[in-house]
Amino acid sequence: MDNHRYDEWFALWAEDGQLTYWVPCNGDDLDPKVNVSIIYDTRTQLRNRITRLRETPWLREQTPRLLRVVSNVEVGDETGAEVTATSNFILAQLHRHNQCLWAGTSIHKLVPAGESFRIRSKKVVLINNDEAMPNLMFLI
Amino acid sequence: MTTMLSTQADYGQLVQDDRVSGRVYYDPAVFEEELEKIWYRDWIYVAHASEIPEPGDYVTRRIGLQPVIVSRDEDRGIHLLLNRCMHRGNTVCQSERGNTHAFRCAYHGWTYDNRGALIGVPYAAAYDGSFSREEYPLARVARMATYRGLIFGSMSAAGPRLEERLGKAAGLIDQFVDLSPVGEVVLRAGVLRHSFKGNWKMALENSVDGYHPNILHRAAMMLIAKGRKVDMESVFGEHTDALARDLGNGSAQLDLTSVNRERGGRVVPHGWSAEAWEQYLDAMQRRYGADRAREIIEIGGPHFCIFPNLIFILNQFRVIQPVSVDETVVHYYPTMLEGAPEEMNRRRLAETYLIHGPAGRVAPDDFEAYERNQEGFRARTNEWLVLRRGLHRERRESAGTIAGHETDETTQRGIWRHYRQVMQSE
Repeated sequence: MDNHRYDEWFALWAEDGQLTYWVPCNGDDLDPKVNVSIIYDTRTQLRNRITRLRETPWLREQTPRLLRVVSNVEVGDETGAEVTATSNFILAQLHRHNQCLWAGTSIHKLVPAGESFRIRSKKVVLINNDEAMPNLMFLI
Repeated sequence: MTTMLSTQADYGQLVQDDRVSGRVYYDPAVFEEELEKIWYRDWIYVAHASEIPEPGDYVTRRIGLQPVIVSRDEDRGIHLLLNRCMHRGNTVCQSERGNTHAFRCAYHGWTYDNRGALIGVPYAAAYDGSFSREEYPLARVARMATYRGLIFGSMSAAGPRLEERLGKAAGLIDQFVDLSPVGEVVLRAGVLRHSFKGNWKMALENSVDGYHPNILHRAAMMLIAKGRKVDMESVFGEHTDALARDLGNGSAQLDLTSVNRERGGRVVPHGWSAEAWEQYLDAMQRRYGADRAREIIEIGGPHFCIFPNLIFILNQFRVIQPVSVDETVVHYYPTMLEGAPEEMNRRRLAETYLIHGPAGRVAPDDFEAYERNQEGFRARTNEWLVLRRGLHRERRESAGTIAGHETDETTQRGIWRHYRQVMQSE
């Protein structure tokens, strides 16, 4: 993700039509069907997001440099065929001359696929999700 | 950028009919003068009545840089109160939104009701007999007025009435709100807040700039064109029939009526179910009659701005909040049409977050452009921004408005003409 390897990242997602990529807004858990989200993508929308990131001329001129540390990984109970993994991250972003810090908790729901897992859903709870924030033009 | 320019700004020189000096975007002294002459004098949009539906509800906002509480009392009256304890100046309300009967200052415990009256002072015996709680209610914004649920405040006790100030923009607010089969829009889906390091006026000008969409937003337009099979050149390009209009008073519009009619109206993005459409059409016809309902739907939502801080595009309100001369926050509020099918409101909501905000498909392009603009203003051998596009072909309309081609800078010129007049006033 830090290196903007969009296709490889997209290949980690489950192929069924149910996936959601969700970054809540105005709080950590407001129902995204009736409240605005920072990101709330279906599979098609996630693919469009990647196209948009890849095809945006100004982003090619100045691709953000990213470095993230993921820690406090907790693997929860399996429910049916799904496993929940929770982790915290701190992410430094350099865009043009400004460095800024993003932090939050990621909640992945994973489904088995062969020897490994695929992502069914990902929810990212940013600590500043009820504040004004600058452009978020990368994979969070 | 903090270069302080010592000379008094001459707005007749800085803001000309076909060009504007970069100084109005970076000079902190100009920003200070704007606070006094625009933000603390004009009618400023602060909130929508539907954000505080119940007695005790409140939201906190800013008028210019000043923190304000918008509260609703037990008799459903609305109050605009300054968020500053009358004792020693602490803010008395810390949340963005909530419900309370009282605002209590954490420092010494002075407590106010939601009309602003001082109702409690701890250890009051230390004040002499001349002290009365009636002397210290929370300060109020000098004037408040509403239009179709939109709450405006003015820090100045004198000045034109709100409706006079809105002028022709009032009709466009009606056009936006009348898309609801009960004539009411509701803000209940939260807010996206998006910041940039640049001057507030760029967000206002850009909101009615019909020249940039196909160029700056190329990637997004490509996706939209592919998904909906629309030729974006016919919407925002050289050959569109759409207009850029100066409405007067600093309000300006991109009039997409001709485009919308051709496409059979654009209440929400296409692709919603036939059932929802039937339900909506039926509700609209019951309220407005068949002809008027068809007309409202065909024209669709308007695209316009009201100087200095309120913008209507597609199905959201955008509110501009200056932070300093080179920092701004834009708030995006999705609006729901009361009485419309749930499916339709969900599409309105989805359109807001897919397109706007920090991770949207369109808005981040604009925000990057604003920041590059602010950086470009450091180059001062040539100070001018050129706004002469289409100057030779714009025309005065019978209503007194000025119309140009959609890609012309008629809208920007309208904003600047008003700005110059306001900034030249005493």
